[in-house]
Order: sequence, then structure tokens, then C-alpha cells
Amino acid sequence: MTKKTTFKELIGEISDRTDKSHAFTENFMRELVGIIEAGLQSNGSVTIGGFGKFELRWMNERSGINPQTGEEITIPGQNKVVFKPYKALREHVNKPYAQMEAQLLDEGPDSSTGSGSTQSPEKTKKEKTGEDFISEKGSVKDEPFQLEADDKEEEDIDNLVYERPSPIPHTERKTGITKKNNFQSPSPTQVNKSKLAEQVQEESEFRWSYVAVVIVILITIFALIYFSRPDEEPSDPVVTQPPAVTETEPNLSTSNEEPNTEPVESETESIPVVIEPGQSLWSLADLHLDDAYLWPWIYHVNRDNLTDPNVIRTGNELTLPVPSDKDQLTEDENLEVANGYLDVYSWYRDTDSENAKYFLWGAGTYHEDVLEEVEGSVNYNDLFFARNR
Amino acid sequence: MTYSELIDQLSEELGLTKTETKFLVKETVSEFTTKLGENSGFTIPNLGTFKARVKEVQKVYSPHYDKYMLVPPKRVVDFSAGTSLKNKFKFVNPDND
Repeated sequence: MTKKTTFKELIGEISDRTDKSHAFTENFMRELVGIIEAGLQSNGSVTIGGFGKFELRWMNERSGINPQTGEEITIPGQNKVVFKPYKALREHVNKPYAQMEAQLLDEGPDSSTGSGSTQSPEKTKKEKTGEDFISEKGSVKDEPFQLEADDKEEEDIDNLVYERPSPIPHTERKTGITKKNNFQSPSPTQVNKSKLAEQVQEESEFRWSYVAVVIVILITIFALIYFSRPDEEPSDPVVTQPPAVTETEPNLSTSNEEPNTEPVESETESIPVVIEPGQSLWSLADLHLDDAYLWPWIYHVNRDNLTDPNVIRTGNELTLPVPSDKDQLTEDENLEVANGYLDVYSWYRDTDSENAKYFLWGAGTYHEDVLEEVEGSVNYNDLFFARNR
Repeated sequence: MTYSELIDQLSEELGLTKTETKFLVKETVSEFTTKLGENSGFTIPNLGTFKARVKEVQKVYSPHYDKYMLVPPKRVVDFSAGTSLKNKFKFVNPDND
């Protein structure tokens, strides 16, 4: 239970602190009390900075019962001497309980379990007292209190001495449940409820954030796998050809820049080639014919198997024409190339591409006769363009 | 009565400087607070008793959350005036009223 310090002990300690004699301190205390009395007499209130405020509070007349006789009596209106501790004192005294915060229970006023506050006074008597909390928490160092701040004038604080505690103000609580909560609710049912409420809240708070993070991680992993997968059997054709339009005038005579990278069999007219990933007619022509601009020739040779000149499928087979002499195409070979360009032109023409005419023109560059041959069947504007470019 | 008024009067009574009285009052108050912090009560003759009391756990209703709450225990300061003081002011109206 609470300890008690005798007045003598108190005087002793104060005189130690102030380095004065016992007699002096005792006199000082007496005087102090006198002044407080005088202050209450004159003002009705006396403030002591850093400590508290003594006040006279008026209690209205009320009726009561004589506890001995049981008869009703009127208690007259009277003054009551009251002390309001200031913040420093309050906080120092409440130190061991300072970290504790209120707990929300999972019951509302309409639930059957909640029976209102009438329960609490009876319950609390059987519950653990605050003393037990202190011993549980371990030793809290009681440092001698020292007023650090300067003398404070009147502070306006809530009237707390004889009132029930008010709920924690809204600003202090974002979530209903606090985590730094070593305050145990005493009765068993309350233990279950409060712990359950706390656990449920904590878990649900935690759980969803973890789940969300895991989902995001999984999605990124799947995305990476999907996009970095090598094209073994792609569903869509990946290969496109660079449009012929972006090029400058095809320079045919000086088309052979690089030495042969691959020995080409000159005896046979064509060789089969399997399309590899990333290849195009352009790249194949460049690789095997040493002139990428001859790609329509390949297109022409494989006309039966190809539709869109921009699209060839990996894994399919193409027949590659083989020029007799890489440096100089024969006239027939040129014709073949021109025909290839014609095929490309037709395809683009059919798709109403703006670039179609360039291919007609290209055909003409390889072999003039081609333009003559198609005169009747070909778009007049394109032919005009091809001839006069 | 404000704090400064109190110091003024006290210093006059004791015949000490204001700074000195301030220091004395400060130390006294610190001592009171320490004692209460240690959960030990004390009585000042002719004034009253100061005690530290633990307010038990209480179940209160929070209209904001529409739920009951358990308010944690709290240690507060109790003061009960001494008889002489009580009687002195019981039916007396303070001068400034």
C-alpha cells in the first residue's frame, strides 16, 4: 500500500536540499501554510508554480441522509478546499503508467455482453490493483523530482482530481489499438476479448499489407519470365523488314561491300535455308547474297510460301537463289530481282500502301523491261513515278 | 493569489530575498513531487494530506468508436484539507466574491 512520510522526515529532506537547519525549514513550512491560508482568504485561490493550485470550491446545498439515524438532512452550501496538481506533478506521479494506453473492446453498447459501467466498480475491486502492475513491470527508478523550468504562472488544466477519466482524445489515436501495450486487462473474459480484439486488429492490419506485397512480387516475376523467354515457338511472327522508303537511292552498282562471309555454292541455283530467329529477307539477302537490296529476289523465289514481304516465320524453310557471280548479276538474275520488286509492289499496292510506287520504281532500276511489261495492268501514277523519279 | 504574490508575501514574512524564497519554495515543491512519485503520502500540519492514489482500470464507453474501452490504471494526486483549514473556509465567503 501507499507509504507515508512523516512531517519530520519531510522537513529533514527539505533542509538537506536547501542546506538549512531543521528549525528554519519548519518555520518556513509554517509560514508557507499561513500564506496559503491568507491567499485563500483573500482570493479564493493560491497557485504554486510547478506544483499546483489551491482553490475554494463552492458546493451547493444538497440533501443527504444522516447515516446514524437514517433521516433526511440538508447539507448546507459550503466551500471546499481543493488542490489541482499541475502538469509536471501529474506526469511525474503517473510515470509508471505513462506508456499504457486505452484499449478498445469489441463490444458496443447494444451487445449483450456489455452491461455498462455499473459492472466496473465491482469488478475492479477483485482485479489486480495498480500496485501489481508496478511490480510486474519491474523497478521504475524514482528519481528525485527537480523542477527544471522557471516558475510557472497559473496554468489552465483540466479538472482531474475528482473526475472519472475521459476517453483518450481523438488526436492521439489513429488506430483503435496500440501496440506498445503491456497493460493487461484483469478479468478473464476481458482478457480474452481485449487480447482477441488486439490480435485481430494487429493481424488484419499486418496481413493485408504482406499479401499485397507478395502479390506484387509475383506479378513482377511472371512479367519478367514472360518477356525474357526466348522465342522458341512464338505465336506471332516477330520479324519485320525495314521499309525500303527510308533508304536513300539504292546504289546497285556498288552494292557489294563486304567480302564473302560464307562460301556460296555457285553450281546450284538455289539452296534451302531455315529461317532463324531475328532474320528477315533483308538480313538473309545481306548474308547470303551480299546485298540486302536483293531481298525481293528471295521474296520472288518463295512467292508461293510468303505473303507479307515483311514477315517470315522462324523455323520455316526458304529457297535462296544463288547468283552465279556475286559481284555482277546476270541479266536474267536482274530480271528476277525486278520481278521480285514487282511482287512486293503488288502486295503493297493491294494493301494501299503509300510506299508501293517505290517498289515499282525499284523494279525498274533492276530491269527496265519490267516497267514496259506491266504498263497496262499497273496504276498509272505509280508507273509515272517509277519512270521519272 | 498568484505565485509572485505568494513569493512576495513569503519573503516579507521570512525576511529573505525573493530569490531565496523562490529557491526554497522550488525545493519544497520538488520534494513534495518526489515523495508523491514514490507513492508515499505526507501531511502538512494545518494544511492537509497529500496522497498518491492509483485509479483502477475502468470500462468506459467511447461515443466516437461506439464501443467500450478499457482505460488503463493511472496514478493521481489526492489532497484532503486539514480540519482546521476546512472549517475556516466552510461557510466563509472569500473576500473578493
